[in-house]
Amino acid sequence: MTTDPAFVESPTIEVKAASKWFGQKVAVSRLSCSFGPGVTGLLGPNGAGKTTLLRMISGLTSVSHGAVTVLGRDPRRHHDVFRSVALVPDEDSVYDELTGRQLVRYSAQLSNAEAGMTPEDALAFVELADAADRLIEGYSKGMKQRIKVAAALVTDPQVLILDEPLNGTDPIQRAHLIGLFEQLGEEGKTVIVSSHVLEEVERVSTRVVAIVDGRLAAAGSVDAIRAAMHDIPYIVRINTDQPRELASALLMSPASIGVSIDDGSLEVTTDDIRTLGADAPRIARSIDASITAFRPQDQSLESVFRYLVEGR
Amino acid sequence: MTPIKALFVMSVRQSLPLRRTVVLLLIQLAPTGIFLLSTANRTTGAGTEALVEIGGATLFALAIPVVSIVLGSATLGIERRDQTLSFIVLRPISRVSLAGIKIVASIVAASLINVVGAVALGTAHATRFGEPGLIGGLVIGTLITTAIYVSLTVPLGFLTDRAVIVALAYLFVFENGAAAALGGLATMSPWRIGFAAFGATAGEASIIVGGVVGSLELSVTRGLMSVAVAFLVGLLLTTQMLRTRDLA
Repeated sequence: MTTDPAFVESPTIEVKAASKWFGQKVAVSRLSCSFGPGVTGLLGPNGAGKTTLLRMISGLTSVSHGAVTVLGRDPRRHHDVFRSVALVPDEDSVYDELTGRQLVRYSAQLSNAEAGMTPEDALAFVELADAADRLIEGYSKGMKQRIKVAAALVTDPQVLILDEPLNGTDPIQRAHLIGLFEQLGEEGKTVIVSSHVLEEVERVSTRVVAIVDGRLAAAGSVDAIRAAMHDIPYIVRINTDQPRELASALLMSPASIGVSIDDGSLEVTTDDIRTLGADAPRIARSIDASITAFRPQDQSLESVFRYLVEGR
Repeated sequence: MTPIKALFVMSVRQSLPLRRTVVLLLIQLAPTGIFLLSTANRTTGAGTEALVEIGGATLFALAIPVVSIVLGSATLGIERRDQTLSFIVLRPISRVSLAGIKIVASIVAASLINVVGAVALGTAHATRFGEPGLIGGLVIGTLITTAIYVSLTVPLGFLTDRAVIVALAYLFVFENGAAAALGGLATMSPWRIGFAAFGATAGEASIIVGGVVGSLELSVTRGLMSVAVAFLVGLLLTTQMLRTRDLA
């Protein structure tokens, strides 16, 4: 039984110390994790290496070092793997000169799919039946995303890899697609959904693999990721009319790790931003100081994940 | 429809969108126009000479190579440029089959255009000078020339965005420049190989063709062998690139 949250019990996809570099640029660095049945969110800021990882898993990109196996085989060598694997790429990479129906039928024909959804069912499922006979070049970004999903569904994939599939979709379409991914996961298919938005991933999946700078930042349940994010030190900028007095008083708060004065403002480092948020006004009142601003700094997903990477 | 048939049909269709087809057909019909204009005042006996030296040379040395290079380079080049490669490579189709289908589909698409030019030229010659026997030879030579150029430009188009420029540079600088000056280089010139195959079927006109193709033997068999070699080279190169290159 595995205890490392980066790995699953019955993996269909295994990434073993995989690295990928393009010239001098390292896109993925010694990354190890695995994916199994159910929906897994692949989370990370833009440029984190998500797309490169998904391309390595799908065999589109070679692995510079390490190994990637899908259903026990190297996807670069065994094209038979693609009877069971489908990729929905992030790019608008669809044949604009085709209609939606033609694209979905072409996809089914290329995979010789017999067990999956019929093209008509897939089109209806992504709610494009009405637009199925229009040329794809006239589709919106969200419609293109959905037609790519339909083209993947007709191949009856055991492993479905989706790179930012919710980009450009409206809230209703998004909810519909998320429901679809959940259903596929419940059917025992391995579904990987990449995104740079934590809330999006949280809605799609219960398990998350987070990467930044091509390295594993965190893995496990969404709750565990959130907890890890809460544990990291934040920097909060506080504007006040009595910076020296408030700095001294705040140092007594258990929520503050350190306090510095910068250009009349305080920069407070804390590992418990909620407690600090409650303590700071009370402490200010006790010394007759007033707080005019309380702004957490540097809270981007990228910076949070970068901290997690450095802490691993 | 099987995956291979679906890929073939789509590849031919992709190669010939309406606007491109019209432009390429106009290029293909240019040799016939030039032939008709240049023979307006010729006597009956000079028809074959004009066909070979004006119409045929323009068709083989210019129109067929240009059309074949454009379509051969595009077949995988466009998939790469439009980032649609993942749509066809992530399928249970072997890389060698994928490469073979793409090359054959491109040869078929280019042949559809090029044969129109050959038939038009042969028909114009037959109509004006009453000698219909050369159309078949023109078509054979056209098909051989087309197959060689396309086979070699499919991998080139996959390799670089500048495949058309590279191939046209080869055509104009090497084939129509160096090889024209040095007859011994004719074996490296695909259009001369096709033209020589035409010459082998051209009866009395073969003497005139022989003067154009330099040291090449006038032979259909040799042309077909060249097609086989070019196809194998193109297939191997394309397959290898599909196996080893990052595809996205």
